[in-house]
Amino acid sequence: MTTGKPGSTASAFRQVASLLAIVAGGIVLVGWAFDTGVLKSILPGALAMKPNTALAFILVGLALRFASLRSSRFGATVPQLCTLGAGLIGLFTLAEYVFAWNPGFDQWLFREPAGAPGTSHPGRMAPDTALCFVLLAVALAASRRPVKFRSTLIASVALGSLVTGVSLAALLTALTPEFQAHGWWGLTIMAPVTATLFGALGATLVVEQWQEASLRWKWPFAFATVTLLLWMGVWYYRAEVNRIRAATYEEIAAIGELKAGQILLWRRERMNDATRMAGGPLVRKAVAEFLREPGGPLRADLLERLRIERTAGGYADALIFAPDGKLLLAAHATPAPPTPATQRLVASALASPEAVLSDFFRLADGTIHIAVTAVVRDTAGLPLAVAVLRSDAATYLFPLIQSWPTPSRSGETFIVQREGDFVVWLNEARHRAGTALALRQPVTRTEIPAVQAALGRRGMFEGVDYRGEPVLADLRPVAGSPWFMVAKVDQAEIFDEARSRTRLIMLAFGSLILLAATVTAFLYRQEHAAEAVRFNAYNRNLIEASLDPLVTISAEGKITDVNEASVQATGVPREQLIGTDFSDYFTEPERARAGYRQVFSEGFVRDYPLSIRHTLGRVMEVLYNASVYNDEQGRVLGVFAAARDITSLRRAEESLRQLNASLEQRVRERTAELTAANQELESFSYAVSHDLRAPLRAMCGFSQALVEDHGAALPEEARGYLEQITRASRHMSELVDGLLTLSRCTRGELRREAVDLSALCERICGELARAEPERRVERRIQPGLVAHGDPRMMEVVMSNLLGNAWKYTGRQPAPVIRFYAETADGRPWFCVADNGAGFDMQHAGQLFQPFQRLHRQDEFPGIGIGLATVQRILHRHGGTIHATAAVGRGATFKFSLPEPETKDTKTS
Amino acid sequence: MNHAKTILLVEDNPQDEMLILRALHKINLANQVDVARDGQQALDYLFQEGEFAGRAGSDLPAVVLLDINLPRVNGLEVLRQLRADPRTRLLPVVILTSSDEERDRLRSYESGANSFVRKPVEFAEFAETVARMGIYWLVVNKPPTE
Repeated sequence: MTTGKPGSTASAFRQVASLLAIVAGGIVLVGWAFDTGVLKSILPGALAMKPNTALAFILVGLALRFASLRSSRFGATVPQLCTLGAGLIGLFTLAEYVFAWNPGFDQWLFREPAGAPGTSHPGRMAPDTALCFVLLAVALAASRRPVKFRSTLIASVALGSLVTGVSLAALLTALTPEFQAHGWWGLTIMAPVTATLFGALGATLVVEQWQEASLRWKWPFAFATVTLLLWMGVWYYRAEVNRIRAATYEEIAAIGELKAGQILLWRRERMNDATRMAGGPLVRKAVAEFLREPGGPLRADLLERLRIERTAGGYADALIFAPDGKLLLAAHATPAPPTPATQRLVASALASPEAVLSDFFRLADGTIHIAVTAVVRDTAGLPLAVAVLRSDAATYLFPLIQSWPTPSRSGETFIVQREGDFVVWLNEARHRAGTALALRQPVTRTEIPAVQAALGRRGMFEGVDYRGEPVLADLRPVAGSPWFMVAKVDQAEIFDEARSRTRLIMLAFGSLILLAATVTAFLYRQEHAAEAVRFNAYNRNLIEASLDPLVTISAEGKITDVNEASVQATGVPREQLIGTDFSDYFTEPERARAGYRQVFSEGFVRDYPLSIRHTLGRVMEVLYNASVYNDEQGRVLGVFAAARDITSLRRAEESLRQLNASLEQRVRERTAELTAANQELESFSYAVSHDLRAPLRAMCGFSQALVEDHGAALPEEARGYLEQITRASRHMSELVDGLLTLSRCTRGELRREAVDLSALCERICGELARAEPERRVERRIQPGLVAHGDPRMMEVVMSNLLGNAWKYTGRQPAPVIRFYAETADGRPWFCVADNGAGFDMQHAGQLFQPFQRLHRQDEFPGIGIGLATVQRILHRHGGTIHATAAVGRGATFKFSLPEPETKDTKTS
Repeated sequence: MNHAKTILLVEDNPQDEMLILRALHKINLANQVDVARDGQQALDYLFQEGEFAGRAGSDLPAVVLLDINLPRVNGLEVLRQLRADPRTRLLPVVILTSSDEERDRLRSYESGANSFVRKPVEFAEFAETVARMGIYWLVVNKPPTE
């Protein structure tokens, strides 16, 4: 068996059944070993179990028991061998029966003497026992297959049911005494213990497979089983009734036959009596003498003879009538007065050469009599007189008819006679007084057995008697008479007997059905309980599987239930969470309280933000969705709250925000660079269009002026040269325009790297000093100042600023140039300061405009492009520059460059 | 206010100054030209302030030839101040510049310039322009009288 789960009902069934089989088999074998009757049959007085049967039971029990211990050292081999053994025992025995073969297999364990009760072959198990073992073995083998193989499942259940059915039938039939005498076809009978064990084993198979079966065919099967059981019960009942009816009929037929024989005998005796009395020559002579001389001496002799006849035959009276019907002599002292019946009697006697037995007739006193007559004839054969022997029916005949030789409540016999269209009861019925010659039924009432008898029917008849009772009757004519014998018993009595027999059996069937129903209901309930448990576990698993902390809160704000995610979020064990205040686990308890109060007042909250505090200090940002839950009456029981962890969402939002900010910063930087570049281009084109033209104009103008004013004084060759100057100037003007166009299309790339401004500063100052060696300028340079920018452009910036400082300190007696760094507005500034001419801060706005100058050419020469260039470079880097100065007190230019964002960003 | 037949030339480029003066000289207007070399000097001249305080012949010139690109105070600022002052509100001002920027022209007229003349690179053209301008403003044009 592959299916029994430890602890299940099926498993319990299996344990009990296997144990029963092994123990019972063992006991029986011990009984055989010590030849102890009680042990052989277990049930006292019952048939004994055969040794082979006991052995097979032990094998089946072992197979059942060890199949459930598959992991044991026995493995699958032992159960398989046991199953095979039991099946072979059954098969071998069946073969013995079928082939009428006796190799001594039945006696190989123990010898059984011949003539044991219910045993056709000594020591051999019953044929149905053998069949049951074969079926069991096949069922066990089938159920070892994988359960999902449905046909084996069905086969197991079917075979189990069959075994149970056979055992049940065997058990039932074993209870009937007739069967005990004969068995099936006169073969060995299954012992009650054997039948019981088969019932248990079959039921085990059914129950085990039942649990594995799908619901689709479970209930049809249950229905079929119950129907089968009921049908078997009904069948058995009907068989029993038929059997009892047959037995009863046999009984009443015997009684009827007996009675009919007795009546026939009685009639013969009466006729013989009459013949003997009338036929003897002495009687004839005496009668003849008496007739000649009525007062003669023979009168006394005749009277004596009549008395003797009366006494010896037990007659009511013995009489002699004259052929004319006149009473001549009577044994009785006071003979009954003659009636018309007497006259008819005499007449019928005269008509017959033999003795005649009359019909029953009623005397004046109401008693019923029957008379036998014989004619006394003379030698010529002429009638002299008629001898009559009259019997009182109540004294002998009626008791003879009525008496029932076996005890019976309703059994009776009576005789009837047809009179025209009626059937007349001749004697007193058992169940109604005064029926003799009084009860008449028309022949049309053929349901009445007596009518059927009078109509000539013989044998068994079921009908309704004079009382209206259903009866079983035996009908037969009484030979040599117009009478018909009816022996009958009420059907009720027969059924009573069957019922009393069947009641026990029906009770057994009822119990079985009830047991089956109970087991089914129990299994069904267990299945459903298991289903409910599974369903509940499923629901709980759903809750526990949620990654969102789920919690239920009572109306007082206490936690009533939590899932694992809540435990994880708070770091507090479930047992400690339940019963505590919900708001305790948040960074803002008041806000949490406000949240669940809102749920109670509004019924729900959606995306209510809170922060769960873990015991380890970390905080989980969550959004709460909560709603109230109600009982069946709609009363609010509490709040069901589900938290969605949005910590990572928040983190992502933050990084997104930072990314956006840095993007914006970069856009600003780019825009600044672009703006600077645009300004540069614009200014460059402005310069080209405006200021570069002036020198060209001068060259061209003065050349022309020279030709105009002094052309006469100039040789032709000189005028040619001037013409060349004019032409070249015009050409350059065109070149300038071309360059301008070119510059507008060109933009340089900006490289950012660390530049040592201090070193750069030293170098430029050195170059300036070498260019004007006569000047003495004091330099104060802070070492180690590093900026991030394009090195070439940084050199341009520093050259311009330092060049200006050098230039504008030209008229200062003690010139000082300083380079240093300071921090303002949270960022570093590089400062180039001098103590030169300075400028008016009023005009500081123009300082960085291209070609704007705050000094005249004759004061300080220059083209006004340097500071504009400086500013544009710094703007392109995203930096700024501003100047502070005072006229005659020097100027300070401060610039800053943005710090690199990340170390790996070398370019932008 | 009397309108003397003089021209104020505001020009920081000495070569341009020479060429303009030469052109005016050719049409005999050179002796009526005063020259300022930056914006501030021009304003001082016109408002008789600074070095020109108590200048002889306090009359305003017939016309101011004003460059835009000037040291210290640029031409457009000079023009703004002139227009802001009631004395010079109606003084004819001609912007005479190398620039051919649309922006400069627009700003000049917006600031109240009477005329905008670009200095050509070509000498002959330049001389003729200056001559015609001088004749126009000194001879042809009738300034408003107050």
